[in-house]
Amino acid sequence: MNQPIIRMRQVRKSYGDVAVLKGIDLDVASGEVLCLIGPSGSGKSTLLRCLNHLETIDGGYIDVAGTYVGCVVKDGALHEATESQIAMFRRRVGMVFQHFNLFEHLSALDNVTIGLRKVLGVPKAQARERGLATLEKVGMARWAGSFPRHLSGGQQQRVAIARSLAMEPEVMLFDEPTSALDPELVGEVLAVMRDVARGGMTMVVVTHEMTFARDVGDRVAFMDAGVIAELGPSTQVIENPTSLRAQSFLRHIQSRIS
Amino acid sequence: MTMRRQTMDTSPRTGPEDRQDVLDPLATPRPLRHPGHWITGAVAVALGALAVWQVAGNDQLQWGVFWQYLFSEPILAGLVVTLKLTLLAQAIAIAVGAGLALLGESRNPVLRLIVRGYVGFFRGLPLLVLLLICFNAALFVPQIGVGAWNWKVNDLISGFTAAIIGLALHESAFMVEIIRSGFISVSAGQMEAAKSIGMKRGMAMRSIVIPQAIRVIIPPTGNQFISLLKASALVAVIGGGDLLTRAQQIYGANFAVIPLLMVASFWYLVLVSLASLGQHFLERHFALAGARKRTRPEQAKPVEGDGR
Ligand SMILES: Nc1ncnc2c1ncn2[C@@H]1O[C@H](COP(=O)(O)OP(=O)(O)OP(=O)(O)O)[C@@H](O)[C@H]1O
Ligand SMILES: [Mg+2]
Repeated sequence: MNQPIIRMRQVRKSYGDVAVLKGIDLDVASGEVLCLIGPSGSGKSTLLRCLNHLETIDGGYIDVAGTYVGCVVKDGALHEATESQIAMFRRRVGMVFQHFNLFEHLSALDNVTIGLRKVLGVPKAQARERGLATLEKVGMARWAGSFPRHLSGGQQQRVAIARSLAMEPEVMLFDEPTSALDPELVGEVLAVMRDVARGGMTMVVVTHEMTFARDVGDRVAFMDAGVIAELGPSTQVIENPTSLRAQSFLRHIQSRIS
Repeated sequence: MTMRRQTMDTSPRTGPEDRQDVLDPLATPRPLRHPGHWITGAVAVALGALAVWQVAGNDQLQWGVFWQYLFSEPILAGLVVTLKLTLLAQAIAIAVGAGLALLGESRNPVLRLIVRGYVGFFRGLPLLVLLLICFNAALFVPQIGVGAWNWKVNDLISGFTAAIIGLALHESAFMVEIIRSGFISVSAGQMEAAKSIGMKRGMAMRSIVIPQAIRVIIPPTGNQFISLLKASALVAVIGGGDLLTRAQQIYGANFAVIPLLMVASFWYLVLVSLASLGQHFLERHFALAGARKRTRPEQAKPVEGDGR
C-alpha cells in the first residue's frame, strides 16, 4: 500500500448533543479509491465534509496531504489556521456534491475556469484552454457555453467534476454524486468517475452504488452510527461482510435494487 | 374555404356523422374575428378624445402659463432637488439596507431583534409622519455632538436634510427585506462549492453569491425607486425645495394652481418614465445568465454514449 495521503485519528464531531462522528480512525493511501457506505444518518457526509474543513472537528486530527486540516504547525504545536490558510488547503482537495452546486450564473466553461482564474491566477486564455481540455475529459466540451439550467442532471454533475478536476487536486471527495440523478443518467457520471480513478486520483466516495463500490473502489468502509463498523477490500466487504450490521444493510440495499 | 365555419354552424345536429370534409386540414385555421373589439375600442377612443378635449380646452388650464413655467428656472431647480433627494435617499437606503440585512443574519439574537424592530418601525410609520418628525427633530434633540464638536440640530436640519433622512429611513426598511430575500435566494450550496475550490468568503461573495443575489434584488429595487420618486413629493410639506415645493410656491403667488400642478405632473411623468427605462435596461443587463443567448433545447439533451 502506498503512503497514506489521508490520516484520520480519533476524529470526533457533534451537533449539539448529538455525536455524529465517534472517534474515526482511517487511512487512505495515495491513489486509492475508498468508498463509504452506510445507512442514512450514519455520518458519511459529515466525515467527508470534515476532510475539506467544511465542518470543523471537535476532537482528534485529520492530516490530508501533509496538512493538519484546519490547523497550522508553529513551534511544534497546532494552531488554528486563518481563513487564507484554509482556502489554500482547499485548493488541493476537490469536492463533488450530491446536488452539483454549479454556479448558476456561469456557463459550463466559466464554472470550470473561475477557480483557475480567481483562485490560482491563471491568465484568461490559458485558463480557457485548460477548462476546455478538462470539459473534454468529462465529455462536456460541446456544452462549454451552456448554462447549468439548460443541462441534464448527469451533464451538470460531469461539469461539476470538471470544475474540481481543473484545480488539479491531490484528493477528490464525492458525496453521493449520483443520488440526485434519474436512473438513466447515473451511468455517464459513474463512467467519468471511473476515468478519474484510472488517472490515479485519490478518491473518497460516499455512494449507494454497490456495483461501482465493488468494481472501482479499492476498499470499502461501512459506517454505522458514527463509527466505521467494517473496513476491507471492496469485494470482501460487499460480498462477504463480517459484521451483522453490514450484512443487514447490504441485504437491504440488494433487495431494493432487485 | 368556408367549410370550418359551416361545421360550426350546423349547431343542433353536430355529431361526427354531420362532419363535412375539409379540403386542407393542414392549413392554418382562419383566425376568429372579434367584431366586438372594434366597437368597444371605438367607444373608448371617443370617450378618451372627449376627455382630452374637455381638459385641453378648459380655460382653467391656461396653456400659456404651463409653457411659461415648464422650463422656468425655479421649476428646473426643483426638478434637480427632487432627483437629488431620491437618488441620495435611495443610495443611503441601499447601503443601510445591505448593512442591516447582514446584521439580520447574525447569530446574535439581540442584533436580529434590533433589525426586526427597525424594519417594523420605519415600515409601519406613514412617510408623511416620519418626514414631519425628522423636520422637527430639533424639538426633542436640540443638539448633537460632544465637547467642541457640537452642532445645533436646528442649524443642521434644513428642509432638504430632513427630507433626505426621512426618505432614507423609510426606504431602508424596505431595502433590508429586499436585499435579505435576494441573498436567501442563493442556496448555501453555492458558497460551499466556492469554498471547496479554494475561494475565501469575500471572494465567494463577490464572484458567486452577489452576482446571483443581484438579479433578484434589482427588479423590486427599481419599483421601490419609482415609488420613492413619487413619494418624494411629500417633502413639499416640510419645504424640501423639491419640484412640488417650487410649483406650490409659484402658484401661491400667481394663483395659477392647475397649470403649475400640470407642470409638476409633466416632470414627474418624465422622471418615472426615465426610471422605468433604466430599470428595464438594468434588469436586462443582470438577467439570468444565458436568458438572452438561449441554448437551443436540442443542444442540451444528453447524447447516448457521448464522450465515454
Ligand atoms: N448541520 C447540522 N446540524 C445538526 N445536525 C446535523 C447537521 N448535519 C448533519 N446532522 C445530523 O448528523 C447526522 C449525520 O448526518 P450525515 O449527513 O453525516 O449522514 P449521512 O450518513 O451522510 O446520511 P445520508 O445518507 O442521509 O446523507 C444525522 O443525524 C444528521 O441529522
Ligand atoms: Mg449524506
